[in-house]
Amino acid sequence: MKTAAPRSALILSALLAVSVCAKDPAAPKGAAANSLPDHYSKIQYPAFAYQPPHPSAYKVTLDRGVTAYLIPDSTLALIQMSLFFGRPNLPARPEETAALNLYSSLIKIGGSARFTPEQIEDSLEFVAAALSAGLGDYQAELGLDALKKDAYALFDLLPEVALKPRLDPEAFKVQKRTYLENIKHRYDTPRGVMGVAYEHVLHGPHPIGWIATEKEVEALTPAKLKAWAGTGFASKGLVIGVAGQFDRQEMIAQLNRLVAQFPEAYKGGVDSLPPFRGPDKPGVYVVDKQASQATIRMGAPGVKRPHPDYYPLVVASYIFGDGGFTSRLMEKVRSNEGLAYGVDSDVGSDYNRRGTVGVSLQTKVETGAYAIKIVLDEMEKMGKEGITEAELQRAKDGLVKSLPSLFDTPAATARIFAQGEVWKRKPDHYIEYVNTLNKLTKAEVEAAFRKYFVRDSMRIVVVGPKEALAKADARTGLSLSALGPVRELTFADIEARK
Amino acid sequence: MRTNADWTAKETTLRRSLAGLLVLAALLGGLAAPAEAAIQAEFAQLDNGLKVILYPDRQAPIVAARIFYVTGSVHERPGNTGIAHLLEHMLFKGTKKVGVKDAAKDEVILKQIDQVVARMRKLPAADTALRSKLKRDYDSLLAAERDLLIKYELWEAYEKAGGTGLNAFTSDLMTAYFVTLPKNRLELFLWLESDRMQNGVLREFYPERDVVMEERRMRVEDSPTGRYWESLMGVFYEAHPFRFPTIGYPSDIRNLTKEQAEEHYKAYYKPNNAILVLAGDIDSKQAMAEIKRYFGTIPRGEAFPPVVTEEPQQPGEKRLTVRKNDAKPRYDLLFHTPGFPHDDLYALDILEGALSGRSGRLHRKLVKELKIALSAGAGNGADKYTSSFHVSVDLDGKPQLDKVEKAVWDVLYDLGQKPITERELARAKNQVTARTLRQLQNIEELATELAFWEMRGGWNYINAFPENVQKVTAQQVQDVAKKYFYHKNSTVGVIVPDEETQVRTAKGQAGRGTKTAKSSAEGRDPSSAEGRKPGASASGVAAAEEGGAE
Repeated sequence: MKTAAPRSALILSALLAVSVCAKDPAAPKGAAANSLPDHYSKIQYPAFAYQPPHPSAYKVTLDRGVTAYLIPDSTLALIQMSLFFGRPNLPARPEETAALNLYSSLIKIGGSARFTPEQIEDSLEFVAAALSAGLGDYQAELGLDALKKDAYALFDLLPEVALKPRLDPEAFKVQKRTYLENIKHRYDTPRGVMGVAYEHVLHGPHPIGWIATEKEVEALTPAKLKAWAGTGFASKGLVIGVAGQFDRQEMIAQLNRLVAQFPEAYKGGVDSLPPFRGPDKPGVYVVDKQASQATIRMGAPGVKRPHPDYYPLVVASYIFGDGGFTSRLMEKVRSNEGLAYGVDSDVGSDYNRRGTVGVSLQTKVETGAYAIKIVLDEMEKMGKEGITEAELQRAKDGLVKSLPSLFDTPAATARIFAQGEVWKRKPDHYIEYVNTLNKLTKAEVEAAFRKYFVRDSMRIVVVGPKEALAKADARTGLSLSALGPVRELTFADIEARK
Repeated sequence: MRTNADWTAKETTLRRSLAGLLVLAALLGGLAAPAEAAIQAEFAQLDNGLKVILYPDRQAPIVAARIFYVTGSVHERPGNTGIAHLLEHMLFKGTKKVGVKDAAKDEVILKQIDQVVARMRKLPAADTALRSKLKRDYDSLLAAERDLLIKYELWEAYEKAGGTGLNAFTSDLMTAYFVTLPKNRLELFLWLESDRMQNGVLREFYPERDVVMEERRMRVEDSPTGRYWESLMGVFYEAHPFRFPTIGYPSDIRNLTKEQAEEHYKAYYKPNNAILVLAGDIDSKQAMAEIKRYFGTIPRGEAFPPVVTEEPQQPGEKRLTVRKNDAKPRYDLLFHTPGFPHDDLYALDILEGALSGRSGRLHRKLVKELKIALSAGAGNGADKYTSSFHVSVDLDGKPQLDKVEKAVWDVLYDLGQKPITERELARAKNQVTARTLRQLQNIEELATELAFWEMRGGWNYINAFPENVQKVTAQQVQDVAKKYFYHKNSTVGVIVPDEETQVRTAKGQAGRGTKTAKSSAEGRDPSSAEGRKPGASASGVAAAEEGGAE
């Protein structure tokens, strides 16, 4: 039975802590206990010092030096586990892309050397357990979510499917048909087109963005996937996050048994990412697609984390467009003009390559150019005029005080710590996060914004009907060409692999 | 077709082969006792009718706070569809106390704006000169009003308090406002929401109406299956207001008025039509006292007309066929089932379990045995008023519809002819138990679930529903399959390629759409399409994102 008490105690038992949400010093005093404050600003809040959990309280070093984070949760009879294998999984040549993708999708679904897909699926579904597996660009992952009573029995299934894939011929056929169907429909939505186009314009052709051809997929056979079998999974650099109801010593023993089933060294794969070509020239890029809206994403190179500009940029972006309704773009584009349902800016948080900064929105085709102009004008204005102290404080409050929600469940906490270890985050990461944000000055935030959010460096990608986008809007007289030279990208352009 | 005998043999093989590696006793172990998953919420109803559900859970020092108004598109009619959703947007614009520097001046300007808009509405279409003048007047008044506003002050107040997951949604049955706050900021929620319940002011109505049109373009018009689902619901429900799209028909949205929104607000935003839920790090006694302090004095609202329209028995099978190339081919089969609560819905949940998943009957038959589908599953949508049972099949680019339909009906017919196996029954029950347990992990989702159960018939159905599912017998499952799975009770929806267009454009499209991204190798979630679908419909004010910056 679920009870209310113990989990907070566990989270709050962190060794190191920092106050992020103490009593509000600005709150006026004097509201009588039984009368309602006439304005919310007069509410007096109880003191509350939030202490984010610290990874060292949960860290365990297993055999072979493998790191695990064990977050006990005595209230729910569940075990949730994530295994992160921090090695990139990329095709060496474009022609290998199809095989890698299909192989990745077949891990588990294709069965294992000892078990058919049906045996695995039936076993898992009978006990309502979920096992996930996949090879990502930056890392491979295995996951298990099971009732406590079944979890340890299912542990062995993880190395079984990851290291000894059966590549069952029938499962292979279904996945191949699914892959081909996804190929046909990959551009059904403007968002689908934008994902490929933006990656191409901002990063250029790279194994991360390589896309397989239908012909390459058609030519695949189970035998051709075997070269990938077992790649991506080894105990070197493995990090595990576990949350749930368990006895700590028993869990450690079970995890050691699990770790021992993986080879120590990786088979195949790459140690680091190949270099990126970098972005195309600033300008407007249009991809023709029939739709009632123009889907717009503009961007420029950002930073690779960790980087001293990252946090000032995050705060600047929060003020500019990432802070929901109180951000500048939301007010200008949505609230004042009614041009878009959603508009936001972003700062890429990427530990593996240089991320981007940018802005996204959708608006009806006729107002596409006008909406872009509003965004660029506001970018320029904020760059020139800077921000207010009130905006700075609001952004800090929004980012820092929302920290408790990040660690809302033991499972989330376990994943955060394990992924952080793969990213080589410091143990004091969240303490530094709060301290760094709180210390940021207006000048630092403005400088970061000016450095990265530069009107003339934006690559503006627009997905929509090109002929309609080329026409001047009746109300504003604007078309895309008013924003600079427009270059059309075909689907073949955005899919170029060299 | 697989027989029970085949399946038994398969089970035996499975047990034998797994025994060496897995602890079979655990795999095939008994059910988790439903009592383990029981959700211990506390319920109270204030004198003014406000329902309160509290769920103390101290897993993190946060509170998922939300208030639900039991209204949505079910209270609309042709001509004002989308009004509940637009009102939800409008109620982020502030109140008499929030979002404005000078409420008295603002009130004066708002009345002037209303007068100008009323004159514009009465204007003949040909009178362009006066229309232009009135538009200038309107723009000028709007600009004057904006000088008085503190834009999105409510949002900012939550934000500065560390609120996350701040948002709202409208569905056919409920409109919700929600935020998750650090535990010491609960009173902020009570202040702002008790104010929003009483003092809402609908500022900047017409620009926001444009925003909703953009939202519709994004969610419906430019979604590959947006119009399909909208149309299919209109076919499936002939009379019941579930047929109306929550976001509204485009022509209705364009003509919605501020007066209509105010009428909706006055009718439905009352304590006796609301459910307040707090889940998280709370002291129940203290929280209840605070809720009474803020909401207890708000007067009850007048009774509003009940939803009386019942969905009539179909005169025959219905069908919608959409031919298009920019959507994945699919087959949907819908059946009408009784509104909640009804005992048959528990057995229907078992049927969902027996039919769904990669080891479920539909996948085994259509994907593995006949190889005519990419995936297949079913869903039991238990709803207030009237419910639905939904079979969905993802097809490949050359759909063999006749075979697919026959295979689906064979599976459904078989369920009515003989009881499901004990293993299938146990599997379905295990999944319901696990689902209930997993609900406890996320207090935000749990808070919403509690409110929806309360709206359907009582919050404790969150416990009673899985408990009642555990009592279902194989015979009851067979009886229910026979009772609801028949042609006259069915509606079919299909999306198939438009072969004519494919042929016409093939030459011009050479080289297009022939490649794919790495991530697209995985099958797509068929439920990810926008728009109303059986058992769920929501349209939110903003796609707010959480975290990520750290």
